[in-house]
Amino acid sequence: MTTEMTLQTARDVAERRRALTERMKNKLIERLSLQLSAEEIADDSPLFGTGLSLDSVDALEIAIMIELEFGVAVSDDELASFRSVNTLVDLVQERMGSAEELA
Amino acid sequence: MTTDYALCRDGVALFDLSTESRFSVSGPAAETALNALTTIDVSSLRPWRGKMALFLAPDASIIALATIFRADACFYIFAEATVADRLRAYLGEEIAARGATLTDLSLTHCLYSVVGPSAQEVMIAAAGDDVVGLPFLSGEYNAELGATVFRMGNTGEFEYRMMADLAQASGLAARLCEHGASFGIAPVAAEVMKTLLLEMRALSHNDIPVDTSPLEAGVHWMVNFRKEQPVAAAALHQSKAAPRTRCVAVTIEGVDAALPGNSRLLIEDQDVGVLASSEYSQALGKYVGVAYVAPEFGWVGVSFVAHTPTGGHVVVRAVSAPMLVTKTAKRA
Repeated sequence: MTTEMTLQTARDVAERRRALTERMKNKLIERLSLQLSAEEIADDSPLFGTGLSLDSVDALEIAIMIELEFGVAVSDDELASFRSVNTLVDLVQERMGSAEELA
Repeated sequence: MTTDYALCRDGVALFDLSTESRFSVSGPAAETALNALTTIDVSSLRPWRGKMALFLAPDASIIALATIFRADACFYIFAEATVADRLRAYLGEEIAARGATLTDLSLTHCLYSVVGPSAQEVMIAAAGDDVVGLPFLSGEYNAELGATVFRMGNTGEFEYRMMADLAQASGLAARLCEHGASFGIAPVAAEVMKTLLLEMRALSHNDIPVDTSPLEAGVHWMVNFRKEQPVAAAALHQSKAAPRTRCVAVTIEGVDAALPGNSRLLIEDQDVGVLASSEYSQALGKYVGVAYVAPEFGWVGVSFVAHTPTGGHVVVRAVSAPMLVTKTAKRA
C-alpha cells in the first residue's frame, strides 16, 4: 500500500509540531500571565469568548509576542485568523517555512 | 441540507432545539451542589453569565458537555439531547443528595435558536435593541419575546437561544419568522448543526469514545485546573501526565460519501487511530471530522490512510481548528 507518509516522516512532522506548539503555549502563558501550564491549554481551544477567554487587547499582545519571539510580523487581516493555539502555530510555521525556502 | 447549511453560514436559520436537555438547579444549596459535580468554579459565575463545563465520572470519562448559567434564583444547565437521559439520572440523584432541587425544563419550556451572520439583526428586529449588548455566554429575560435569551453556542456564528414557557412556543417561533423574513430566516433541520460544529471542532458527545478523558478529547479548556476537582481529580492528573490518545480535527479528500464511523487510521499499515465522525463541509468542499490518534502521531500536519467501503483508500489529514473563519468572526 502506498501512503503519503512513512512512520518516520510522521514522527518527524509530529515532533516538529509538538515542539513549536509547546513553545507557543509557553510564550502565551508568559506574555499574557495566564494561570495555566502548557498541557492545560488545548491546541484547538478557542482563544476568545470562551476557552482562554482572551479579549481584543490580548490579540494585540499575541501579535507583538509572535513578532518578538518568532520573528513573524502579523498584519491586521491576519488577526482575524487568531482562533486557537493551532491557528497561531499554523501562521508561524507557514512563515518560518517560507523564510527557510527563501534562505 | 444544502440550503440549511447556507442559511446558517451566509444568512440566518431558525432551529427548534426543544429536544435538547435543559435543567434548573435551585435552592440555597444549589451553588454548593453544582460546584461539587462540575469542572468549573460555579461560584465565580456572575449573575446571568455562563460557562461551558463538563460533568465527569470518577475515571474522568465524560458524562456530558454542558453550558451553565447563573440566573437570579437558580442555575440553568443546557446540554445535548443525546445525553438527556444520562444527565437527568446523574443530576437527579446527585443534586438531591446535596439538598438542592433539580427541575427538568424540557417538560415545560421550549427552546429555539437563531443562528447565522444575520442573527443579530433578526434579534434586534424581534426583541429590540437590548440584545445588542448581550455578550457571548450571557443571558437575560426579554419582555418583547416573553422569553429568556441566551447568547451561546459553538458554530462560530451569532447564536441566540430563547427559552420560554411551552405554551408560547408557536407564538415565539412565529414572531422570529415574521421579524426575520426580510433577512431570509427559515426553519432548518437540526442535523445540519453537526457539520457546523465539526468545522469548529466543537465536539458532540457522540464524537467522544467511551472512557475518553477531557485531556484526550481536547476539551480540557472546560476544566478549571485551579479548582480542586471534586469528582475525577486523580484520573485527570493521570491523564494529564500520560494521555492514551489525542483528538485531532481532520479533513478527508477524494471521497464521495462519509467514511464509516470507527474507520481505522493507518500509517504504513500500522493502526494508529480511529476516525470518530465526519461530515461534508460545503464551505471547505471536503469531508471534515475528528479522530483519536496515538499521542506520538496526533499532531497537525500528520496524514493517515483510511480504507473506503469500496476497497479503496483515502488520505486523512490532521488539521488546525476551527477549520474556517466564519462571516460572523470576520465581522466581530
